[in-house]
Amino acid sequence: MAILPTTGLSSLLWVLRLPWEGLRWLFATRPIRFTRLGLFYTLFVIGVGAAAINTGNNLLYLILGILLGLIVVSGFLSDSGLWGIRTQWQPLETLYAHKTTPFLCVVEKGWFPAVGLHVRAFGSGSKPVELGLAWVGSRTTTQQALSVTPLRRGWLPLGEERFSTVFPFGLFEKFHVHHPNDRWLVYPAVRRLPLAELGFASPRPAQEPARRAGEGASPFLVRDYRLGDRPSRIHWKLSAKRSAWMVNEMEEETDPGSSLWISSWPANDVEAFISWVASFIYTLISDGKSVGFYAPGLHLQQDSTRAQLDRILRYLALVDPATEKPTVSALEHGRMQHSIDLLQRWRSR
Amino acid sequence: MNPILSPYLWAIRAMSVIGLAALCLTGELEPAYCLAGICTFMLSFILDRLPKLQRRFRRLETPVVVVLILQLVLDMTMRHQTIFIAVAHFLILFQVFKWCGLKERKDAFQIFLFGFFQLLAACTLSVDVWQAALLLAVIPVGAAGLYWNSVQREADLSGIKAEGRTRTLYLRMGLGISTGAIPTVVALTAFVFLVFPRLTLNASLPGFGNAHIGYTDRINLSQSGTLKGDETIVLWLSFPDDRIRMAWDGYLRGSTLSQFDGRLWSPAKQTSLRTLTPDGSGWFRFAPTRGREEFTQEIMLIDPSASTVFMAGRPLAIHAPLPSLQRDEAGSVHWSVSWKRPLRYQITATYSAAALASDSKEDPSALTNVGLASLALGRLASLARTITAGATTDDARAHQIERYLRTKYAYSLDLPSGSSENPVEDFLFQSRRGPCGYFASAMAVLLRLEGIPARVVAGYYRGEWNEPAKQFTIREKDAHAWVEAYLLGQGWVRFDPSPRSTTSSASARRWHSVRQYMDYMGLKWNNWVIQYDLYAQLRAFERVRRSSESLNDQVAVWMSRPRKGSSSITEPTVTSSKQSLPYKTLLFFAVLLASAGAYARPRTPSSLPNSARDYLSFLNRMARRGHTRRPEETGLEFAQRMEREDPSKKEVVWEATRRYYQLRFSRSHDPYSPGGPS
Repeated sequence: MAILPTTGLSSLLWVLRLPWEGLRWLFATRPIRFTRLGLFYTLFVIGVGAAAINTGNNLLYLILGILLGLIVVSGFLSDSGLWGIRTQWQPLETLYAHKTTPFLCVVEKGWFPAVGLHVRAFGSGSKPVELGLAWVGSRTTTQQALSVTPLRRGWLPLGEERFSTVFPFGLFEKFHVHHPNDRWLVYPAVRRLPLAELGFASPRPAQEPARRAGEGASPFLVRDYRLGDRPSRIHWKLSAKRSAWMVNEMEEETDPGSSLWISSWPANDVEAFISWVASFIYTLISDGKSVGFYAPGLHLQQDSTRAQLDRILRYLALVDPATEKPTVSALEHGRMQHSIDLLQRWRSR
Repeated sequence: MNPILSPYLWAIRAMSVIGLAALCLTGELEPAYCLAGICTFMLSFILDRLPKLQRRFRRLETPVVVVLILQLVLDMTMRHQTIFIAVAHFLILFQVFKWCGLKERKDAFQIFLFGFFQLLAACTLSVDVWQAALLLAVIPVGAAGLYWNSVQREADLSGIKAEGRTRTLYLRMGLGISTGAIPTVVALTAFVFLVFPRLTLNASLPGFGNAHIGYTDRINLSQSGTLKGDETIVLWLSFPDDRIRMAWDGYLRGSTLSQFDGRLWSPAKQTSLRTLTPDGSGWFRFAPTRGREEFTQEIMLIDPSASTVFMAGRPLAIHAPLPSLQRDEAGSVHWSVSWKRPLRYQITATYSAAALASDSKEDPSALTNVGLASLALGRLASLARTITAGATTDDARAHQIERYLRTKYAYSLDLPSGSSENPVEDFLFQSRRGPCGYFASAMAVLLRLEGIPARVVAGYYRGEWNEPAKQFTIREKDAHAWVEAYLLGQGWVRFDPSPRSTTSSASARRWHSVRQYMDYMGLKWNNWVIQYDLYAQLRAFERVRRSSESLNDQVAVWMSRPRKGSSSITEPTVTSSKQSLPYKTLLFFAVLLASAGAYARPRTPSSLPNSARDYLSFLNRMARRGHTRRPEETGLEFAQRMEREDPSKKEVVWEATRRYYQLRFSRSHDPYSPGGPS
């Protein structure tokens, strides 16, 4: 027997590896999963093939061809239904830990319609959410709202985005997986605390300052225009940017405000402490109180605006108590301002 | 649970019709089951409007299934039906029940599957050309059924419903898939059909027998009733030589029946069989072919269940894809192996007297005895003497009997009697009319009573010339029986005492040409599809290989032809083109893989909106032309610089920039900015 030349042998091996490589490439780029119907269908096809081979009945060969042909058509159509999909996710409200928040998912499709499309996202940082879309036309967008419940404060990544469909015949579930880099900030869980817990409870509640949002001299926040708002309060620049009327809301400046500081992090229940601090500040600012905040890595002068609340909540969302240690200057500054030690207040509540 | 979608209902109705039509067209289904199937279809319309009745039927599901399984077992054991027919009965009855209790997607899909299984069962029972139409119809119907089942499943399980405008879109998509599946699946089916290896293993399973019952090598005179003119095509016969075709006497020999017990003609029991094997070229040689008046005929035997080789004249050689043939002393040729598909064979035969004399090794003297000792044959012998009075030779006597029967008796498909002790005597003296079997029996008996050795031959007569196919079509109704008498000096001579029946109905004449074309399609179906076996596959591959080589040579010649302005002339050689073939093939596959890889390369998911992508694409194109946007430049600044540097591109640059700014920063056009609030 003649010995094959080396180049010929390597060529032969290359050719022999082709089907395996082809299959590997196919399943890597187009992963599929059998549905129960698809499994039975495949077994049935194998049975018909075996019967055709055994009997030599050419009609069985034709039926085998039809069944295999339908598999190919199914593969082509389902793949076409998944190619060219892009999504954009947007929260419709501020995200807080453990609070179910509505999200808007905008799905854009390429050259072929997506039929019966399932989108799954938020694998980490939240309970996975699944979206079912009956139809996304070719070169069009469809949007659908859904609810997301972040499990913890910090960054909420979109994580793995999985598009799947059983279109057109329900024989196989084909899916594509994307790894987008989108992420959103999740504030710590907040709740409105009772005044007694805040330490501002008074025997004469009527003397407590009321909620002061409304007419006043200092800017409070910017909000959507409501019928009856004075046109002079319209925030023109923001209105132009958003293509919607926005108005300035003002407040009165009568409250001396409170300075809050975190002397140190508790040894246990850090997350509960952070959530309580966020709730404390949230309640104060919601009631129109001016709040200054001194914490490891952050010094904020007194302010009662929404921006102040966002700054504090952002800090609390991202803070890592293991690395952010209280500094001496912060502690001194806190003492000088006669501010409220939040850790003590938390322990004594 | 959502109600079943109406397109889905239509799809399963269509599949039910296909399955039922397939089973009915096989002719193997009893009329009661056909009726049950038709009722199924009617029920599907009525019971849609009777949900209460459907609920009641659903409660009976378990006992009904048990009863139907019992019926299946009884069909196979007591009624000795083949498994396919028993399963067909089961499917039809179960389908009727399912239609009655149809409520959920699961029921609908089961009915859909039953329809398909019925078609599958029909494919094992018959291979006629109408199967092609049904198989073609099952593609869009199957695709639509699977599609709507999937839509229904999504609605039931995932809550993705086809409602409102989406329903219209789903309908359009369903129609598109159904129609688009036809060419795609047909092409893929053709590919699978052509290249799938034909390895007929013939592993037998109990109960999976051949259900075909056609030609039999018996003539039974004790049957009663009326024979029906069965239009089923038995075989196709062609003569390559037109002169032979014109000269053909119309007789196709099948089995020779020498033994008669008063009611039944059958082949001789004590006959020795000669087994023949093919030579190297696949021919079974019966006698030397040189020096004889021989002719060639080609036969496509559609129904090979009789295991008999039909032929015109006496065979000299047969070319057939069989491992062995057996020839009895009377000259009939059979095979003993299992052959369930249509059989194509070629015969070299002759009508020469020498061949006729030497063809049969049967002892003629044994065939003079009527062998009916228990019957009174006085009247028959007296009639024979009366008919042959005056004739001096056996030849003359035989011809007188033949003429007498032809002229004094009438041909009829009505069988004369069913319980007579002596059907031949009843035929000759009482009914005086009957089918060809009675004429042949009567003549053979009269000849034997006259001392002339005679036997009955069963076969086919003439058939019908099919102009499109240029072949003779032989149908079941063309089955015929005639007599062979042994005459001294001539050997076995054929006599046909049956009067000719030439009547044909007006409607048959009207549809004659249509039927011819349908028969022609059936022939092509048999030639191209049913006959496609391992040998045909190898031949087809060989043909493709030769064609590709020829094409390759032509391309090589074309590539190496002298160009204009070229002084050197190179002679193209086949060797060089053959040597380059592997490289070209490899190159072809490399290009194919590269293009497939380029298509399937996983692309980085982009979060950019369309406007930004288009503008980036524009910037890339500009960069390739030497105009790169600087990192610190905004789009407007880049456009202004371009206007200064290359005024010819001013309009293009400004247009692209304007569109980008409009799309990118106008909320009404591009409302969804990239990324999230991070």
